[in-house]
Amino acid sequence: MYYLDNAATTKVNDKVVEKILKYNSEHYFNPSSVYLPAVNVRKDIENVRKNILNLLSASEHSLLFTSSATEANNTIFNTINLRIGDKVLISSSEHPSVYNTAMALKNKGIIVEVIKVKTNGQIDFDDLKSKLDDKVKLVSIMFVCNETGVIHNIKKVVKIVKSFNDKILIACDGVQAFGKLDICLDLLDVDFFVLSAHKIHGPKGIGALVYKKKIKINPFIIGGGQENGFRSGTENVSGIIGLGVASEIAYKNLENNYKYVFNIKKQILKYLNESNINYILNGDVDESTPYILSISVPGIRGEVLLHMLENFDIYVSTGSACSSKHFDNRILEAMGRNKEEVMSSIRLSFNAYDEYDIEYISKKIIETILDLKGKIN
Amino acid sequence: MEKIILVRYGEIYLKGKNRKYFEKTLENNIKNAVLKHNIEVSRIPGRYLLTGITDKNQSKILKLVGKIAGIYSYSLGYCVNSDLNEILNASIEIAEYFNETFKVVTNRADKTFKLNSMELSREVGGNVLKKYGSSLKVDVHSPKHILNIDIRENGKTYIFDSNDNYLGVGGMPVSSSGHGLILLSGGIDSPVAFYLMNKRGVKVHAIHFHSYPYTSELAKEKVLELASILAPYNGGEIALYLCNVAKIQEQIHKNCNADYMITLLRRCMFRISERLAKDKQFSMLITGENLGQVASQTIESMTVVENVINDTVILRPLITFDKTETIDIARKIETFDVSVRPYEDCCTVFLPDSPVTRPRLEKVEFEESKINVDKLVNEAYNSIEKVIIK
Repeated sequence: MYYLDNAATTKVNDKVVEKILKYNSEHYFNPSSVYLPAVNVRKDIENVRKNILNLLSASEHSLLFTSSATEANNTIFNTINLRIGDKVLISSSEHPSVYNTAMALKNKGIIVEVIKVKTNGQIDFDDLKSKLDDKVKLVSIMFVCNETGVIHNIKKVVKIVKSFNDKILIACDGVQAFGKLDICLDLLDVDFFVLSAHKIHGPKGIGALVYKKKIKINPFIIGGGQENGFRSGTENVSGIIGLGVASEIAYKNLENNYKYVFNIKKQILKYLNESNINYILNGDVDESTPYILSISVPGIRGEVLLHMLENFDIYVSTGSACSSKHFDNRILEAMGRNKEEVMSSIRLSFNAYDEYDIEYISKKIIETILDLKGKIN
Repeated sequence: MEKIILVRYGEIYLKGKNRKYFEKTLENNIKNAVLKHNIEVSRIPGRYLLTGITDKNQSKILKLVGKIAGIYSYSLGYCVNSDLNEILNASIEIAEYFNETFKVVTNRADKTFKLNSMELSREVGGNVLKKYGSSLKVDVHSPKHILNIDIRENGKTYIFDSNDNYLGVGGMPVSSSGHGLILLSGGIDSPVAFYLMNKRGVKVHAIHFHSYPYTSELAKEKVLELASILAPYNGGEIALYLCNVAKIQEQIHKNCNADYMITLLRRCMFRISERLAKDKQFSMLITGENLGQVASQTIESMTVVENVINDTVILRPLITFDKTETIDIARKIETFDVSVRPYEDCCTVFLPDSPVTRPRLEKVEFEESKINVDKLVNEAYNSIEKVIIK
């Protein structure tokens, strides 16, 4: 099996599984209890918190464990005291957990504006500048686009926004970047950073919100006062520990992993270029993550290609829904792709631990496309 | 005092000599529906009685009974011996949850009972007031609760709160009108057509056409889910036949005028369906077609498609429905939310930009002559998978 949908989720690392098991069967104590074994669990959690902040070089930030990156993104938008008439800017390529959460604020009288992206998926900085005004309270731009792999120039976003008004908060959904790219939050200077465990061979059901200590956020989930009162609910101890181990492994191998997947992406593109298939690359190679490859093959519906590849045990994904009635890929549309290009997009996303027979995968993709072209066109 | 559900049938009353057959069919259907739940079903004159109802299973049983065709109405109530004291005690217990106003209505089928209807109503009403008079009043015109007391000839009395009375599906018991095969797409219409045929006593079997890999596996899952929602209306289970028509579509696409894709494909689907119906001895085909709704549902399209059918009747229960009417039923039978999931039933990869809306038979037959229909239909037919959905 060739699993090429690692942007959706990843296989949990064996070492992570081992630890998760241990914290469910041996160290199962409630970290809020006060006897020694429970206190030790509390310490373990705090170590994970500290370690992740270290890995992100985030000396001015705190970290809140959440049930998912979606919860972390929701927490940002719903706790920063936005008032009627305030403005929020998001990019058009945001994940639904940002996009839809922001759009829901419209019902509360908040103005939500969407910053355009260019045809290569990069932020249109002129558009960003034109939308900045006194009402803007929050700007949210993702680090790496989950659909296309495009890496946004967050540093430049921060510079533009903070030089306009350094009180504007900046959020960065870092789910596809965490554990895969070198990130220094002290340097980037974003106010919020969101991450998730299951994209880096950790368990599902655990994510985190990293936020600057000086920012006042209101509790989003209220109850027993865990996570310093910011996020109640008994801690997902084994999840947190799993996130910790997965993060450590990811950062230990960061550079080698990067090189490994870079080569995969490069090789597949080479095979595609050598074939006589017309395809469109969604996102420039040198401005996107090697972990994600998104292409459109006009004339071939992505979902059909997906199912055909499934027959060869190759699992990819498509961002667009299957139906013509529900033609919908906000992100590719924002990049100026037409309906046919959107419908014909597929996404391959890699991990650095599987062995890929790149020649086999590439050939099957090419063969299938040619086969479908013969049948359909 | 025992909790019961009393079931009343409707149209079966109109039957003459063969009424017994319908009564027996309905009884069997009820028994099948509640089989797993340790419920006893017995027949009392003109009604059915379900015993073994507990606080825990009552809502499940009520829901199941609400999906059995042939039932006009049903009530959750209590059964006691036809003894004045037992009736009074039970009435007081039931009335504990009454609020504001009530009245008592007695029906005395057992004329040997010592009080007549009026006298018993008065007696029960008086006792209820004595107990709850501070918070409850009698209102004979528009009470919040009607306490129905039904004294039957079998020595039993059934007592109900009018608020625990529900309307059933109506119609005729499933199977009493024979077996049919529906073309089940996964859209809004065909599940409604399915239900309406159940209502008229037809045991429905379903064929679903898909074109994997051009359509999603999720589209198939959706049809399986619809079938499981419909199964209780169909006597508890559905035989679902899954047929892949991808090859037929490929051949039409390759060889024929693209605008005829839908017409030609539907002709093949009807051929396959009739063959299945004949093999399985189903006596009718059923579709969710609706006049004028889409290109394939004009009279001309239907005529040209129906032309391939030899001698099987095609029933289209939704033919005159407005979309809103269909949707209302789809919501009632809880298929709507599944139907609107965005997976296509038949692939849109091959969908022409301008399908013919008024096809002519000669032209259709000419286009069809470009492909080997018999071979393709045969292949598709032989690949049919059968799934039983419960």
